[in-house]
Amino acid sequence: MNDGKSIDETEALPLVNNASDTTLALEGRQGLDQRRRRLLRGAAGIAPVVLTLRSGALAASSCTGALTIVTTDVSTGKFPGVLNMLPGQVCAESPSQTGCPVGETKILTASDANKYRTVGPSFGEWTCEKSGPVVLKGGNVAILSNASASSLGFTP
Amino acid sequence: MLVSDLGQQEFLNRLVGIGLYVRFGPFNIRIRSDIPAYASVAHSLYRFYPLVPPDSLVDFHVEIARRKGMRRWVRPQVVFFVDGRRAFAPYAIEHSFPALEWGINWCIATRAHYLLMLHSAVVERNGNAILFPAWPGHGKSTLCTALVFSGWRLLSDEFGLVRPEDGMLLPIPRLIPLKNESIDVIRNFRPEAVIGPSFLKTRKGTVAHVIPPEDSILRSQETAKPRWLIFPRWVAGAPLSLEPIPKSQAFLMVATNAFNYEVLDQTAFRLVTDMVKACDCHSLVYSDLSEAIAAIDALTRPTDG
Amino acid sequence: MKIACVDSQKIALSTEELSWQDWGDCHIAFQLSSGETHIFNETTVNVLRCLGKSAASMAELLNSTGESLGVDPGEISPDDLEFVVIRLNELGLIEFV
Repeated sequence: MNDGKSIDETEALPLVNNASDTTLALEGRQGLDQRRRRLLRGAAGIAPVVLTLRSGALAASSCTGALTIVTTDVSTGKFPGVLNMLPGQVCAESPSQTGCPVGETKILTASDANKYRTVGPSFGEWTCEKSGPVVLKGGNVAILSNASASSLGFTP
Repeated sequence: MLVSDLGQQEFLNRLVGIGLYVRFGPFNIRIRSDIPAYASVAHSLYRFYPLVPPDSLVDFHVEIARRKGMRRWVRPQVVFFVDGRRAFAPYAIEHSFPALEWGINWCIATRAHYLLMLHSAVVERNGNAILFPAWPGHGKSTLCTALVFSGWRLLSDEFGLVRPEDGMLLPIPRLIPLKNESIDVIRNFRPEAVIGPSFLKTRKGTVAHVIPPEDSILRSQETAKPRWLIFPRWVAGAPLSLEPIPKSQAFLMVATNAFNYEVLDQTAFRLVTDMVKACDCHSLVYSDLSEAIAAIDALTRPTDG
Repeated sequence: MKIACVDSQKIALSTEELSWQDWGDCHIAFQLSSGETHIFNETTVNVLRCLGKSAASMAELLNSTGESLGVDPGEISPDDLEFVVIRLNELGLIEFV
Protein backbone atom coordinates (compact mmCIF):
# COMPACT_ATOMS: atom_id res chain seq x y z
CA MET A 1 0.00 0.00 0.00
CA ASN A 2 3.00 2.25 0.35
CA ASP A 3 3.29 4.11 -2.92
CA GLY A 4 6.51 5.92 -2.25
CA LYS A 5 9.84 4.24 -2.32
CA SER A 6 12.60 5.34 -0.05
CA ILE A 7 15.78 6.69 -1.56
CA ASP A 8 17.61 3.50 -0.64
CA GLU A 9 15.12 1.33 -2.46
CA THR A 10 15.34 3.07 -5.79
CA GLU A 11 17.57 1.77 -8.51
CA ALA A 12 19.89 4.43 -9.80
CA LEU A 13 18.24 7.61 -8.61
CA PRO A 14 16.54 8.75 -5.44
CA LEU A 15 13.27 9.99 -6.83
CA VAL A 16 11.69 7.04 -8.59
CA ASN A 17 8.11 6.48 -7.53
CA ASN A 18 6.23 3.22 -7.36
CA ALA A 19 5.78 1.64 -10.76
CA SER A 20 2.04 2.19 -10.65
CA ASP A 21 2.62 5.95 -10.55
CA THR A 22 4.43 8.12 -13.03
CA THR A 23 8.06 7.11 -13.23
CA LEU A 24 10.40 10.00 -12.88
CA ALA A 25 13.74 8.34 -13.59
CA LEU A 26 15.92 11.12 -14.91
CA GLU A 27 17.91 9.25 -17.58
CA GLY A 28 14.72 8.20 -19.36
CA ARG A 29 13.31 11.69 -19.66
CA GLN A 30 14.14 14.44 -22.10
CA GLY A 31 12.38 17.11 -20.02
CA LEU A 32 9.01 17.87 -18.48
CA ASP A 33 5.82 17.08 -20.35
CA GLN A 34 3.57 19.92 -21.43
CA ARG A 35 1.19 19.53 -18.49
CA ARG A 36 3.97 19.93 -15.98
CA ARG A 37 5.38 22.92 -17.84
CA ARG A 38 2.02 24.63 -17.58
CA LEU A 39 1.79 23.85 -13.89
CA LEU A 40 5.28 25.12 -13.39
CA ARG A 41 4.68 28.39 -15.15
CA GLY A 42 1.24 28.82 -13.64
CA ALA A 43 0.27 29.12 -10.01
CA ALA A 44 3.11 26.85 -8.87
CA GLY A 45 5.81 29.16 -10.29
CA ILE A 46 9.47 28.50 -11.01
CA ALA A 47 10.80 29.37 -7.57
CA PRO A 48 11.68 26.23 -5.64
CA VAL A 49 9.35 25.56 -2.72
CA VAL A 50 9.73 23.47 0.41
CA LEU A 51 6.93 23.43 2.94
CA THR A 52 6.66 21.33 6.07
CA LEU A 53 3.23 20.12 7.02
CA ARG A 54 1.83 21.06 10.39
CA SER A 55 -1.13 19.21 11.79
CA GLY A 56 -3.44 21.55 13.60
CA ALA A 57 -6.04 19.41 15.27
CA LEU A 58 -3.75 19.13 18.26
CA ALA A 59 -0.85 21.41 18.95
CA ALA A 60 1.83 20.17 16.62
CA SER A 61 5.54 20.25 16.95
CA SER A 62 8.09 20.00 14.22
CA CYS A 63 11.65 18.83 14.11
CA THR A 64 13.43 21.48 12.17
CA GLY A 65 16.81 23.03 11.80
CA ALA A 66 17.26 25.78 14.32
CA LEU A 67 19.97 28.26 13.46
CA THR A 68 20.99 28.10 17.08
CA ILE A 69 19.62 27.60 20.56
CA VAL A 70 20.33 30.37 23.00
CA THR A 71 19.71 30.96 26.65
CA THR A 72 18.34 34.41 27.27
CA ASP A 73 19.55 36.39 30.25
CA VAL A 74 17.10 36.11 33.14
CA SER A 75 17.10 39.86 33.77
CA THR A 76 17.61 41.48 30.40
CA GLY A 77 16.74 38.73 27.94
CA LYS A 78 19.97 39.45 26.04
CA PHE A 79 22.12 36.84 24.36
CA PRO A 80 25.16 36.96 22.08
CA GLY A 81 24.56 36.75 18.37
CA VAL A 82 25.77 33.98 16.06
CA LEU A 83 26.79 33.87 12.43
CA ASN A 84 23.91 34.45 10.01
CA MET A 85 21.52 35.78 12.63
CA LEU A 86 19.32 38.54 11.28
CA PRO A 87 16.73 40.86 12.78
CA GLY A 88 13.16 39.61 12.60
CA GLN A 89 13.90 35.91 12.73
CA VAL A 90 11.48 33.71 14.64
CA CYS A 91 12.31 32.85 18.24
CA ALA A 92 10.65 29.61 19.35
CA GLU A 93 10.35 29.13 23.07
CA SER A 94 11.13 25.96 25.00
CA PRO A 95 12.70 23.92 22.23
CA SER A 96 13.49 20.29 22.87
CA GLN A 97 15.72 17.82 21.10
CA THR A 98 13.92 14.71 22.26
CA GLY A 99 12.60 12.53 19.48
CA CYS A 100 14.38 14.37 16.69
CA PRO A 101 17.30 13.42 14.52
CA VAL A 102 20.66 14.49 15.89
CA GLY A 103 21.17 18.19 15.45
CA GLU A 104 17.50 18.97 15.01
CA THR A 105 15.23 20.74 17.41
CA LYS A 106 11.56 20.22 18.14
CA ILE A 107 9.53 23.38 18.47
CA LEU A 108 5.85 24.09 18.88
CA THR A 109 4.47 25.22 15.59
CA ALA A 110 0.78 25.37 16.29
CA SER A 111 0.45 29.07 15.84
CA ASP A 112 2.29 31.96 14.34
CA ALA A 113 0.46 34.41 16.53
CA ASN A 114 2.52 36.43 18.99
CA LYS A 115 5.74 34.77 18.00
CA TYR A 116 8.83 36.46 19.36
CA ARG A 117 11.30 37.86 16.81
CA THR A 118 14.99 38.67 17.05
CA VAL A 119 15.92 42.30 17.70
CA GLY A 120 19.49 43.54 17.38
CA PRO A 121 22.36 43.58 17.25
CA SER A 122 23.11 46.12 19.89
CA PHE A 123 26.79 46.03 20.83
CA GLY A 124 26.84 42.46 19.65
CA GLU A 125 23.86 41.36 21.73
CA TRP A 126 20.35 40.39 20.73
CA THR A 127 16.94 39.94 22.31
CA CYS A 128 13.73 38.16 21.33
CA GLU A 129 10.74 40.45 21.49
CA LYS A 130 7.11 40.64 20.50
CA SER A 131 4.78 43.60 20.37
CA GLY A 132 4.50 45.49 23.63
CA PRO A 133 7.42 45.24 23.63
CA VAL A 134 7.64 42.04 25.61
CA VAL A 135 11.10 40.50 25.92
CA LEU A 136 11.78 36.80 26.41
CA LYS A 137 13.87 36.31 29.50
CA GLY A 138 15.51 33.43 31.30
CA GLY A 139 14.92 30.43 29.09
CA ASN A 140 16.10 28.46 26.10
CA VAL A 141 15.05 29.76 22.72
CA ALA A 142 15.53 28.31 19.25
CA ILE A 143 16.29 30.88 16.57
CA LEU A 144 14.90 29.70 13.24
CA SER A 145 16.46 30.57 9.95
CA ASN A 146 14.19 32.37 7.53
CA ALA A 147 14.08 29.27 5.39
CA SER A 148 12.97 27.12 8.29
CA ALA A 149 10.38 29.64 9.46
CA SER A 150 9.02 30.05 5.98
CA SER A 151 8.83 26.32 5.47
CA LEU A 152 6.80 25.99 8.64
CA GLY A 153 4.42 28.66 7.46
CA PHE A 154 5.43 31.48 9.72
CA THR A 155 4.90 34.92 8.30
CA PRO A 156 8.29 36.40 7.41
CA MET B 1 -28.75 -5.19 26.73
CA LEU B 2 -29.32 -1.49 26.08
CA VAL B 3 -29.32 1.49 28.40
CA SER B 4 -33.09 1.72 27.90
CA ASP B 5 -33.43 -1.70 29.52
CA LEU B 6 -32.39 -0.15 32.82
CA GLY B 7 -34.91 1.71 34.91
CA GLN B 8 -33.94 5.22 35.89
CA GLN B 9 -33.15 4.27 39.49
CA GLU B 10 -31.02 1.30 38.46
CA PHE B 11 -29.24 3.54 35.97
CA LEU B 12 -28.49 6.06 38.70
CA ASN B 13 -27.39 3.33 41.10
CA ARG B 14 -24.87 2.06 38.58
CA LEU B 15 -23.51 5.55 37.89
CA VAL B 16 -22.97 6.16 41.57
CA GLY B 17 -21.77 2.65 42.33
CA ILE B 18 -19.96 0.19 40.11
CA GLY B 19 -20.24 2.41 37.05
CA LEU B 20 -22.15 2.30 33.80
CA TYR B 21 -20.32 0.13 31.29
CA VAL B 22 -21.38 1.33 27.85
CA ARG B 23 -20.07 0.70 24.37
CA PHE B 24 -19.55 3.57 21.93
CA GLY B 25 -18.32 2.13 18.67
CA PRO B 26 -14.96 0.44 19.24
CA PHE B 27 -14.62 1.78 22.81
CA ASN B 28 -15.90 0.38 26.09
CA ILE B 29 -16.29 3.25 28.52
CA ARG B 30 -17.09 3.11 32.21
CA ILE B 31 -18.99 6.18 33.35
CA ARG B 32 -19.56 7.25 36.92
CA SER B 33 -21.33 10.27 38.32
CA ASP B 34 -22.93 11.43 41.56
CA ILE B 35 -25.05 14.06 39.83
CA PRO B 36 -28.76 13.16 39.51
CA ALA B 37 -29.37 15.78 36.81
CA TYR B 38 -26.59 14.24 34.71
CA ALA B 39 -28.08 10.78 35.23
CA SER B 40 -31.49 11.92 34.09
CA VAL B 41 -30.21 13.36 30.81
CA ALA B 42 -27.85 10.47 30.14
CA HIS B 43 -30.53 7.84 30.74
CA SER B 44 -32.66 9.52 28.12
CA LEU B 45 -30.05 10.32 25.48
CA TYR B 46 -28.03 7.09 25.75
CA ARG B 47 -31.14 4.90 25.42
CA PHE B 48 -30.02 3.00 22.29
CA TYR B 49 -26.45 2.37 23.34
CA PRO B 50 -25.40 -1.15 24.31
CA LEU B 51 -24.16 -2.01 27.76
CA VAL B 52 -21.21 -4.34 28.26
CA PRO B 53 -20.56 -6.59 31.26
CA PRO B 54 -18.56 -5.07 34.15
CA ASP B 55 -15.75 -7.54 33.58
CA SER B 56 -15.20 -6.26 30.03
CA LEU B 57 -11.93 -4.61 29.10
CA VAL B 58 -12.52 -0.89 29.49
CA ASP B 59 -10.80 1.73 27.31
CA PHE B 60 -11.50 4.73 29.51
CA HIS B 61 -12.79 5.17 33.02
CA VAL B 62 -14.46 8.58 33.14
CA GLU B 63 -16.32 10.41 35.82
CA ILE B 64 -18.13 13.69 36.19
CA ALA B 65 -18.46 14.54 39.85
CA ARG B 66 -19.31 17.41 42.11
CA ARG B 67 -16.36 19.51 43.09
CA LYS B 68 -15.35 19.25 46.72
CA GLY B 69 -15.28 22.09 49.20
CA MET B 70 -17.21 25.30 48.94
CA ARG B 71 -17.89 24.80 45.26
CA ARG B 72 -19.97 21.79 46.11
CA TRP B 73 -22.67 24.12 47.36
CA VAL B 74 -21.92 27.70 46.31
CA ARG B 75 -22.29 28.16 42.56
CA PRO B 76 -21.65 24.44 42.36
CA GLN B 77 -19.15 23.06 39.93
CA VAL B 78 -18.27 19.65 38.57
CA VAL B 79 -14.97 18.10 37.61
CA PHE B 80 -14.10 15.62 34.88
CA PHE B 81 -11.90 12.68 35.80
CA VAL B 82 -10.27 10.14 33.51
CA ASP B 83 -8.75 6.99 34.96
CA GLY B 84 -9.07 8.56 38.38
CA ARG B 85 -7.16 11.71 37.50
CA ARG B 86 -8.67 15.13 37.20
CA ALA B 87 -8.52 16.79 33.81
CA PHE B 88 -9.52 20.33 32.80
CA ALA B 89 -10.81 23.24 34.77
CA PRO B 90 -14.15 22.76 36.57
CA TYR B 91 -17.48 23.25 34.81
CA ALA B 92 -20.73 24.68 36.10
CA ILE B 93 -22.91 21.85 37.37
CA GLU B 94 -25.53 22.71 34.74
CA HIS B 95 -23.00 21.67 32.08
CA SER B 96 -22.28 18.23 33.48
CA PHE B 97 -23.63 16.37 30.49
CA PRO B 98 -21.79 18.25 27.71
CA ALA B 99 -18.67 18.28 29.88
CA LEU B 100 -18.59 14.51 30.02
CA GLU B 101 -19.28 14.24 26.29
CA TRP B 102 -16.35 16.55 25.55
CA GLY B 103 -14.23 14.65 28.04
CA ILE B 104 -14.87 11.37 26.24
CA ASN B 105 -13.93 13.02 22.94
CA TRP B 106 -10.70 14.20 24.52
CA CYS B 107 -9.91 10.71 25.79
CA ILE B 108 -10.35 9.27 22.32
CA ALA B 109 -8.40 12.01 20.55
CA THR B 110 -5.45 11.80 22.92
CA ARG B 111 -5.26 8.07 23.49
CA ALA B 112 -6.64 5.96 20.66
CA HIS B 113 -3.41 6.02 18.68
CA TYR B 114 -3.81 2.51 17.35
CA LEU B 115 -6.15 4.21 14.86
CA LEU B 116 -5.54 7.14 12.57
CA MET B 117 -8.02 9.74 13.78
CA LEU B 118 -9.23 12.33 11.33
CA HIS B 119 -11.19 15.35 12.47
CA SER B 120 -14.09 14.53 10.26
CA ALA B 121 -17.74 13.62 10.09
CA VAL B 122 -18.39 10.29 8.36
CA VAL B 123 -21.59 8.90 6.87
CA GLU B 124 -22.18 5.73 4.88
CA ARG B 125 -24.55 4.24 2.38
CA ASN B 126 -24.23 0.84 0.69
CA GLY B 127 -20.83 0.25 2.21
CA ASN B 128 -19.31 3.44 0.82
CA ALA B 129 -18.46 6.30 3.13
CA ILE B 130 -18.20 10.04 2.72
CA LEU B 131 -15.73 11.81 4.97
CA PHE B 132 -16.26 15.49 5.76
CA PRO B 133 -12.99 16.76 7.21
CA ALA B 134 -13.51 20.26 8.53
CA TRP B 135 -12.37 22.73 11.13
CA PRO B 136 -14.83 23.71 13.87
CA GLY B 137 -17.47 26.14 12.76
CA HIS B 138 -17.65 24.96 9.16
CA GLY B 139 -20.97 23.25 9.61
CA LYS B 140 -19.98 19.60 9.38
CA SER B 141 -22.07 18.48 12.37
CA THR B 142 -25.15 20.19 11.04
CA LEU B 143 -24.65 18.73 7.59
CA CYS B 144 -23.88 15.32 9.08
CA THR B 145 -27.07 15.39 11.16
CA ALA B 146 -29.14 16.32 8.15
CA LEU B 147 -27.63 13.49 6.13
CA VAL B 148 -28.22 10.81 8.75
CA PHE B 149 -31.85 11.82 8.84
CA SER B 150 -31.94 11.62 5.04
CA GLY B 151 -31.00 8.02 4.48
CA TRP B 152 -27.32 7.93 5.43
CA ARG B 153 -25.88 5.91 8.30
CA LEU B 154 -23.89 7.80 10.90
CA LEU B 155 -20.37 6.60 11.57
CA SER B 156 -19.39 9.76 13.45
CA ASP B 157 -19.84 13.50 13.46
CA GLU B 158 -16.36 14.07 14.88
CA PHE B 159 -13.92 11.22 14.32
CA GLY B 160 -12.91 9.53 11.12
CA LEU B 161 -11.39 6.42 12.69
CA VAL B 162 -9.16 4.69 10.18
CA ARG B 163 -7.98 1.16 10.86
CA PRO B 164 -4.32 0.96 9.81
CA GLU B 165 -4.48 -2.69 8.76
CA ASP B 166 -6.86 -2.08 5.88
CA GLY B 167 -7.84 1.61 5.78
CA MET B 168 -11.44 0.83 6.72
CA LEU B 169 -13.48 3.30 8.75
CA LEU B 170 -14.74 2.29 12.18
CA PRO B 171 -18.04 3.72 13.37
CA ILE B 172 -18.38 5.62 16.59
CA PRO B 173 -21.96 6.89 16.30
CA ARG B 174 -22.17 9.02 19.44
CA LEU B 175 -24.63 11.78 20.17
CA ILE B 176 -24.21 14.67 17.75
CA PRO B 177 -23.65 18.00 19.53
CA LEU B 178 -25.26 20.95 17.77
CA LYS B 179 -24.34 24.50 18.61
CA ASN B 180 -26.34 27.70 18.70
CA GLU B 181 -28.38 28.33 15.53
CA SER B 182 -27.80 24.80 14.25
CA ILE B 183 -30.15 23.46 16.91
CA ASP B 184 -33.16 25.21 15.44
CA VAL B 185 -31.98 24.51 11.91
CA ILE B 186 -32.19 20.76 12.57
CA ARG B 187 -35.43 21.07 14.56
CA ASN B 188 -37.00 22.70 11.51
CA PHE B 189 -35.32 20.42 9.00
CA ARG B 190 -36.20 17.16 10.73
CA PRO B 191 -38.80 17.62 13.48
CA GLU B 192 -38.70 13.88 14.17
CA ALA B 193 -35.08 14.03 15.30
CA VAL B 194 -34.76 13.60 19.07
CA ILE B 195 -32.76 16.48 20.47
CA GLY B 196 -31.83 16.65 24.14
CA PRO B 197 -32.02 19.69 26.36
CA SER B 198 -30.18 22.87 25.41
CA PHE B 199 -27.26 23.74 27.66
CA LEU B 200 -26.85 27.50 27.72
CA LYS B 201 -23.69 29.56 28.05
CA THR B 202 -21.25 26.71 27.70
CA ARG B 203 -17.74 27.43 26.46
CA LYS B 204 -19.06 26.71 22.98
CA GLY B 205 -22.29 28.66 23.32
CA THR B 206 -25.63 26.85 23.48
CA VAL B 207 -25.23 23.12 22.93
CA ALA B 208 -27.81 20.36 22.45
CA HIS B 209 -27.32 16.72 21.53
CA VAL B 210 -29.08 14.75 18.81
CA ILE B 211 -29.68 11.04 19.25
CA PRO B 212 -28.57 9.34 16.01
CA PRO B 213 -31.06 7.04 14.28
CA GLU B 214 -31.24 3.74 16.15
CA ASP B 215 -30.04 1.86 13.08
CA SER B 216 -26.74 3.77 13.12
CA ILE B 217 -26.12 2.72 16.71
CA LEU B 218 -27.17 -0.89 16.14
CA ARG B 219 -24.72 -1.17 13.24
CA SER B 220 -21.81 0.38 15.11
CA GLN B 221 -19.58 -2.64 14.52
CA GLU B 222 -20.02 -2.43 10.74
CA THR B 223 -17.07 -0.81 9.00
CA ALA B 224 -17.17 1.22 5.78
CA LYS B 225 -14.84 1.95 2.90
CA PRO B 226 -13.82 5.56 2.23
CA ARG B 227 -15.18 6.57 -1.16
CA TRP B 228 -15.59 10.37 -1.14
CA LEU B 229 -13.80 13.20 0.63
CA ILE B 230 -15.95 16.32 0.79
CA PHE B 231 -14.63 19.43 2.51
CA PRO B 232 -17.67 21.40 3.62
CA ARG B 233 -18.12 25.02 4.50
CA TRP B 234 -21.40 26.67 5.40
CA VAL B 235 -21.54 30.29 4.24
CA ALA B 236 -24.68 32.34 4.84
CA GLY B 237 -26.46 33.09 1.58
CA ALA B 238 -23.84 31.39 -0.58
CA PRO B 239 -24.89 29.61 -3.77
CA LEU B 240 -24.27 25.89 -3.73
CA SER B 241 -20.88 24.83 -5.01
CA LEU B 242 -19.68 21.23 -5.13
CA GLU B 243 -16.44 21.12 -7.06
CA PRO B 244 -13.62 18.63 -7.51
CA ILE B 245 -10.36 19.64 -5.88
CA PRO B 246 -6.81 18.51 -6.63
CA LYS B 247 -5.77 15.43 -4.72
CA SER B 248 -2.67 17.20 -3.45
CA GLN B 249 -4.91 19.77 -1.77
CA ALA B 250 -7.11 17.00 -0.36
CA PHE B 251 -4.06 15.27 1.08
CA LEU B 252 -2.89 18.42 2.82
CA MET B 253 -6.33 19.21 4.18
CA VAL B 254 -6.84 15.71 5.55
CA ALA B 255 -3.34 15.47 7.03
CA THR B 256 -3.41 18.87 8.69
CA ASN B 257 -6.85 18.15 10.08
CA ALA B 258 -5.95 14.81 11.66
CA PHE B 259 -5.71 14.43 15.43
CA ASN B 260 -2.68 12.18 15.38
CA TYR B 261 -1.01 12.41 11.99
CA GLU B 262 2.44 13.06 13.51
CA VAL B 263 2.01 10.37 16.14
CA LEU B 264 1.42 7.68 13.53
CA ASP B 265 4.41 8.67 11.44
CA GLN B 266 4.79 6.87 8.13
CA THR B 267 1.63 4.85 8.77
CA ALA B 268 -0.37 8.07 8.70
CA PHE B 269 1.35 9.21 5.52
CA ARG B 270 0.53 5.90 3.85
CA LEU B 271 -3.07 5.82 5.07
CA VAL B 272 -3.85 9.37 4.01
CA THR B 273 -2.15 8.82 0.67
CA ASP B 274 -4.15 5.65 0.04
CA MET B 275 -7.39 7.26 1.14
CA VAL B 276 -6.97 10.29 -1.09
CA LYS B 277 -6.03 8.11 -4.03
CA ALA B 278 -9.12 5.95 -3.53
CA CYS B 279 -11.57 8.80 -3.03
CA ASP B 280 -13.20 11.39 -5.22
CA CYS B 281 -12.33 14.71 -3.59
CA HIS B 282 -14.59 17.76 -3.57
CA SER B 283 -15.12 21.05 -1.82
CA LEU B 284 -18.65 21.97 -0.82
CA VAL B 285 -19.89 25.46 -0.09
CA TYR B 286 -23.52 25.68 0.89
CA SER B 287 -26.09 27.75 2.70
CA ASP B 288 -29.18 25.58 2.21
CA LEU B 289 -29.18 22.11 3.76
CA SER B 290 -31.69 20.59 1.35
CA GLU B 291 -29.69 21.78 -1.64
CA ALA B 292 -26.49 20.40 -0.15
CA ILE B 293 -28.08 17.01 0.51
CA ALA B 294 -29.51 16.82 -2.99
CA ALA B 295 -26.12 17.64 -4.47
CA ILE B 296 -24.40 15.00 -2.34
CA ASP B 297 -27.03 12.46 -3.34
CA ALA B 298 -26.50 13.27 -7.01
CA LEU B 299 -22.73 12.98 -6.62
CA THR B 300 -22.87 9.63 -4.84
CA ARG B 301 -25.92 7.94 -6.30
CA PRO B 302 -24.48 6.59 -9.58
CA THR B 303 -21.81 4.58 -7.76
CA ASP B 304 -23.98 3.21 -4.95
CA GLY B 305 -24.46 -0.56 -4.82
CA MET C 1 19.94 36.68 2.83
CA LYS C 2 23.44 35.34 2.23
CA ILE C 3 24.95 32.43 4.01
CA ALA C 4 28.70 32.70 4.34
CA CYS C 5 29.73 29.26 3.08
CA VAL C 6 27.04 28.25 0.57
CA ASP C 7 28.53 29.74 -2.61
CA SER C 8 31.92 28.16 -2.24
CA GLN C 9 30.94 24.62 -1.33
CA LYS C 10 29.72 21.64 -3.26
CA ILE C 11 26.28 20.36 -2.42
CA ALA C 12 25.37 16.68 -2.47
CA LEU C 13 22.31 14.60 -1.81
CA SER C 14 22.32 12.96 1.60
CA THR C 15 21.32 9.38 2.29
CA GLU C 16 18.23 10.49 4.13
CA GLU C 17 15.21 8.24 3.44
CA LEU C 18 12.10 9.75 1.98
CA SER C 19 8.82 8.12 1.08
CA TRP C 20 7.38 9.92 -1.94
CA GLN C 21 4.00 10.56 -3.50
CA ASP C 22 3.68 12.52 -6.72
CA TRP C 23 0.33 14.28 -6.91
CA GLY C 24 1.02 15.90 -10.26
CA ASP C 25 1.00 19.51 -9.11
CA CYS C 26 3.31 18.90 -6.20
CA HIS C 27 5.28 16.13 -4.55
CA ILE C 28 4.71 15.18 -0.94
CA ALA C 29 7.36 13.22 0.91
CA PHE C 30 7.57 11.66 4.34
CA GLN C 31 10.96 11.92 5.99
CA LEU C 32 11.52 8.74 7.99
CA SER C 33 14.15 10.09 10.37
CA SER C 34 12.18 13.11 11.57
CA GLY C 35 8.63 11.94 10.97
CA GLU C 36 7.90 15.17 9.12
CA THR C 37 5.97 15.51 5.90
CA HIS C 38 7.25 17.95 3.30
CA ILE C 39 5.73 19.44 0.21
CA PHE C 40 8.00 20.14 -2.74
CA ASN C 41 7.20 21.72 -6.03
CA GLU C 42 8.63 20.53 -9.33
CA THR C 43 11.60 22.86 -9.12
CA THR C 44 12.70 21.53 -5.74
CA VAL C 45 12.26 17.96 -6.90
CA ASN C 46 14.50 18.73 -9.86
CA VAL C 47 17.09 20.24 -7.52
CA LEU C 48 17.16 16.95 -5.64
CA ARG C 49 17.26 14.93 -8.86
CA CYS C 50 20.22 16.90 -10.15
CA LEU C 51 22.07 16.43 -6.89
CA GLY C 52 21.23 12.76 -7.07
CA LYS C 53 23.29 12.55 -10.22
CA SER C 54 26.30 14.35 -8.80
CA ALA C 55 27.40 16.90 -6.26
CA ALA C 56 27.34 20.45 -7.56
CA SER C 57 28.19 23.97 -6.63
CA MET C 58 25.39 26.51 -6.39
CA ALA C 59 26.19 27.83 -9.85
CA GLU C 60 26.24 24.34 -11.33
CA LEU C 61 23.03 23.45 -9.55
CA LEU C 62 21.32 26.57 -10.85
CA ASN C 63 22.25 25.64 -14.41
CA SER C 64 21.44 21.95 -14.18
CA THR C 65 18.10 22.56 -12.48
CA GLY C 66 17.12 25.06 -15.13
CA GLU C 67 18.17 22.64 -17.85
CA SER C 68 16.25 19.81 -16.23
CA LEU C 69 13.13 21.96 -16.02
CA GLY C 70 13.55 23.18 -19.57
CA VAL C 71 13.59 26.84 -18.62
CA ASP C 72 15.99 29.66 -19.46
CA PRO C 73 18.96 30.05 -17.11
CA GLY C 74 17.78 33.37 -15.72
CA GLU C 75 14.34 32.19 -14.73
CA ILE C 76 15.38 30.66 -11.43
CA SER C 77 16.54 33.27 -8.98
CA PRO C 78 19.87 32.44 -7.30
CA ASP C 79 18.49 33.83 -4.04
CA ASP C 80 15.46 31.56 -4.24
CA LEU C 81 17.66 28.57 -4.92
CA GLU C 82 19.95 29.43 -2.02
CA PHE C 83 16.93 29.82 0.27
CA VAL C 84 15.77 26.32 -0.58
CA VAL C 85 19.26 24.82 -0.40
CA ILE C 86 19.54 26.15 3.13
CA ARG C 87 16.21 24.60 4.06
CA LEU C 88 17.01 21.28 2.44
CA ASN C 89 20.28 21.24 4.34
CA GLU C 90 18.44 21.94 7.58
CA LEU C 91 16.16 19.02 6.87
CA GLY C 92 19.15 16.80 6.31
CA LEU C 93 18.22 16.04 2.71
CA ILE C 94 21.38 17.56 1.28
CA GLU C 95 24.78 18.27 2.69
CA PHE C 96 27.69 20.55 1.96
CA VAL C 97 30.78 18.54 1.00
